[in-house]
Order: sequence, then structure tokens, then C-alpha cells
Amino acid sequence: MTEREETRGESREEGENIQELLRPLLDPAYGFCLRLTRNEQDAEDLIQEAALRACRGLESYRPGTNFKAWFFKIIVNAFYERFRKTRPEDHSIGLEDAPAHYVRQRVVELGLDKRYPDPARQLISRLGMEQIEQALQSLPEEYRMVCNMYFIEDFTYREIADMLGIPIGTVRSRLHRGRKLLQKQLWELAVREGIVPRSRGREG
Amino acid sequence: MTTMVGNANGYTCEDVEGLLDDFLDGELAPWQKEKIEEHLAECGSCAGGQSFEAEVLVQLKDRLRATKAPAELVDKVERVMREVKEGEEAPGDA
Repeated sequence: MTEREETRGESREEGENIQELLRPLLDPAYGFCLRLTRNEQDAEDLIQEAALRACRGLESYRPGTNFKAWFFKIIVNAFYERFRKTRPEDHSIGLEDAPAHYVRQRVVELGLDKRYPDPARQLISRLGMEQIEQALQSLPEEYRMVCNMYFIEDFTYREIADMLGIPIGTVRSRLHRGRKLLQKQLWELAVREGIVPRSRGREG
Repeated sequence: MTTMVGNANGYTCEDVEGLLDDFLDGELAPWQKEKIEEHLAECGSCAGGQSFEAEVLVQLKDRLRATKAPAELVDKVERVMREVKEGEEAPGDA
């Protein structure tokens, strides 16, 4: 058992009604739906559909288990059944492997770690929300789905595996690779925007 | 990111780098976590890398979790839930 699985019991809910359980999930669920559908109207439709399914299928939820994971699984199923078929997949980035921890490697290569006290924070805080979304959206769907779950909520690898019906090892490899690709995308966007220099000695 | 630190019983820098994402996600067994912490306590280079990657994750999570559901959507969802509940409470009225 991993460190997080051992402490997981703390986040479990018991004895509350569905409105009380669902209300605090609407913000993260909307963010999740928005990134899945890439469209505000579809995201709203998806979340309403999922809420309806959750209300009607409440008997399949076991009190005392993780309601958040149960509800997100409903969202994923509704997405695959109703929305995914209408959106052809476009691979907007190359699938060749990016090196691990790309941003840090580039920061060290360019000597930015010597010049700035907190380069990770400075780099990401200077990227606009739109650019971070763009980087996440550029991932191929299988990576985007897992990364989306990971970044939106503190789901464990096991919970993500259960929600998607895939082995935990697949979650781990998709998440690790998705993060590599995401870091590379973020760095390239930062270079394009002039936030970091392209090479040593050339600012912007 | 060298492989100089480490001994027969502990993790090398390379081991730590390979397990860093799992470590940051709290997905390692307690004994692995302990071995990484031991390494980080004595290796400044890996400790710096760990802080950097942790900060990248914190920043990205903060930004991506800032999305709010539109107020009208919250109202619509509340209405859906209310209607289902009322329908269940008065099945004969359908």
C-alpha cells in the first residue's frame, strides 16, 4: 500500500445527502468537463447529465466510499457515451518522448536557477491561464484525460485507474509521460512568449 | 543530477530521479519514501530538483484548480437534483 492509500480514509464521506455531497464538487467537476469537451456549452451539458445520472443512480453509491471518485466516474462514462464520438481526435503535438523534468533541465542549462531565487514559480506565474490550458489541451486524449484528473483533484493512481477502468501501471505511465509532454509544451510556450530566453545569453 | 551520491544500501541520484514523480505524488511504499528522504537529506542537488518539481506541480495545480462553475450552471444542477428528488417522493403524481 502506498503512502496516499494509507491516508485515504480521511476524505471519505458518510451520511450526507446528494446535494450536500455534489455542491462542493461542481467547481472542479466543471473544470474537468471543460477540459474534456473543450467547449463551455458541452461542459455544462455534460455536468448536468452527470448530475442527473448521479441522482438517478444513487443506489449504486456505497455510503462511506469516495463520493468524489464515484461522481467523476459518472462524468467520464457520460463523456465517452455522449460527447467523445462527436470530437475527432487531433494530435496537435508530436508523440516523441520528451525528457523527464524538461523545464528544470532547461532552466539549469540556461543558468536561470543561478539568477532567480524561485525559477519554477516565476516561470509558471508569468504564463497566462490560456497558455497553461493550451499546453494541457495539446496532449493526446489518453494523456490529457489522466493529467486532467490528476491536476484537477488529488486522486490517487488507484482511483484514476478505477475511474477509467485501466490498470494502475497504465495510469502511472500515462501520467508520467503526460507530465513530460506538458512540461515541454509549457517551456516552448514560455520561449515563444519571450518569458524565457531561447538559448544562453539571448534574452527573449 | 549526478550519480555520485548513494551507497550499497541507499538510493543513488539516478534512482531518486527515476522515482521523483511517484515520490511527489505520495505513491511510493513507505520504505521507498524513507530511502528517498534519506538521500535528499544528504544530496543538495537532488533536494534542489525535488523542490523545483514540487513547485512546478503546486503552481500548475493552483492555476488549473481556479476554474469556477458559472452561477447559472450551479442553479441548473440544483434544479435537476431537486426535480429528481421531488419525482421520487411523489411517484404517483407523474
